[in-house]
Amino acid sequence: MPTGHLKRLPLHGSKSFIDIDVRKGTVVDTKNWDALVQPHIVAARPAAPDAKWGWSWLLRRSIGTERALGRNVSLFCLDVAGNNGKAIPLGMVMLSEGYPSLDGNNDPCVYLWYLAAAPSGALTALGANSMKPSMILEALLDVSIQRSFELGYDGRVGLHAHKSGGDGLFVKYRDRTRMRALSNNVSISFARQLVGGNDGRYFWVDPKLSQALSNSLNYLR
Amino acid sequence: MKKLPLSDPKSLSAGISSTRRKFRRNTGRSAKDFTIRYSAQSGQPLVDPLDVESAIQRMWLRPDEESPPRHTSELPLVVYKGTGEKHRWTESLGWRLKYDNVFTGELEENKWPRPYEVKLTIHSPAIRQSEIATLVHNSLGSVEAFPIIYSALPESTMQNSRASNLDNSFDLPAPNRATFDSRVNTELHELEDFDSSVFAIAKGFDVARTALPEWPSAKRSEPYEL
Repeated sequence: MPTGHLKRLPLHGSKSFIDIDVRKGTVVDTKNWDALVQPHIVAARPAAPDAKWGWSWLLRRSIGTERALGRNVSLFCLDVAGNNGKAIPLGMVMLSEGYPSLDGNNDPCVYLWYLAAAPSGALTALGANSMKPSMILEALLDVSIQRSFELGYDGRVGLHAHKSGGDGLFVKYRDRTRMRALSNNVSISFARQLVGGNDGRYFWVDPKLSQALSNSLNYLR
Repeated sequence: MKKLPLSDPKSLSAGISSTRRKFRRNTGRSAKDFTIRYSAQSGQPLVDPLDVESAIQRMWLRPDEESPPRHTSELPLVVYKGTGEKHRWTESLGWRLKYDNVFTGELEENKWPRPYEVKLTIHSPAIRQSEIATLVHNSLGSVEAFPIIYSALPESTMQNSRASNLDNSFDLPAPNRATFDSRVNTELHELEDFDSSVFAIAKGFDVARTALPEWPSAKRSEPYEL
């Protein structure tokens, strides 16, 4: 059941929270990200998978390819307050809506194509009112789950941990988000098989798990 | 990505040019630019321009561990111009697209797709040209592939270019000096065509910074405890 997006996130090492704003994004937001946040990502984590992303191009490309396959692309932004009255980008996630389920069923799901969080340096430089909050990854996954609920997909969400992220990225998805890693012998869609098959780095959230994950974050809604 | 050495010193040229006047006319900002230009012959790979951009931005944002982060608005703007058989030139995003499409995966020396060259133009409204030159030099030194290029030049050249006169020119050895001068002259003419793309990106950079949405008034803007 959709319960609405998160409204706050906790701050590291304190009992405090900050409000966040979750909203649908546009190509303007991707341009903002590319110009204002991406350089900090490159500076902070040059080897990370997202260090070479250009979000505005990724969005344009994804819209083209996904529409050709009868699917929809959506972009969601997480913002925090800035000291200049502006909303400062904190995280962004790009979704494919109507993607074939990764567990072999024909049910549609939300596939999490791209997600990224702004480094602390970007928030500082852009004038955020607080330190970088924790649980941004969990919040971005929750956006995907809530969107899956909204679309009638019962919370089904899939993603692939890109191999360039190494074991660290895999472990982060497995342990922090508590998504379920698909074992190597699980059959995935034909299209996914064409682009490399199941390399053991796919993650899947079924309806039961998505409800549990959603419930676990209700204190932040 | 596998990077192979540029073995022919003649394939490398670098220089400084100024499009300050046009930059100001088109963006309303005064700025200086620094252009480094390098090329590869068929069968030779080219350094990933994204590596250069990353290094420059990383150094500018945080010159050293003890410095506070600099503001993004003063970030040097890096623009690529690539030349190949099919694409006369590409702007930054186009280059990324082309680069990603063509050069991902394992690179094999004999499968390098076409001869081409790349020009990186770094604009910055906030720092002097000498500082940009220093920045670029230091950045290039931190890029994995560039020492390979420099190794094609005499050691004395490397020391000279890194140690002094950075805001005048690269101290290329004599055989390359003529090549360098002719290329710079050509480049200055080509800038007439190139500028429109440079300034379009520069304008977009400005617009993006001011296009952040307003923070919703119904939400709290300061930390709080439940």
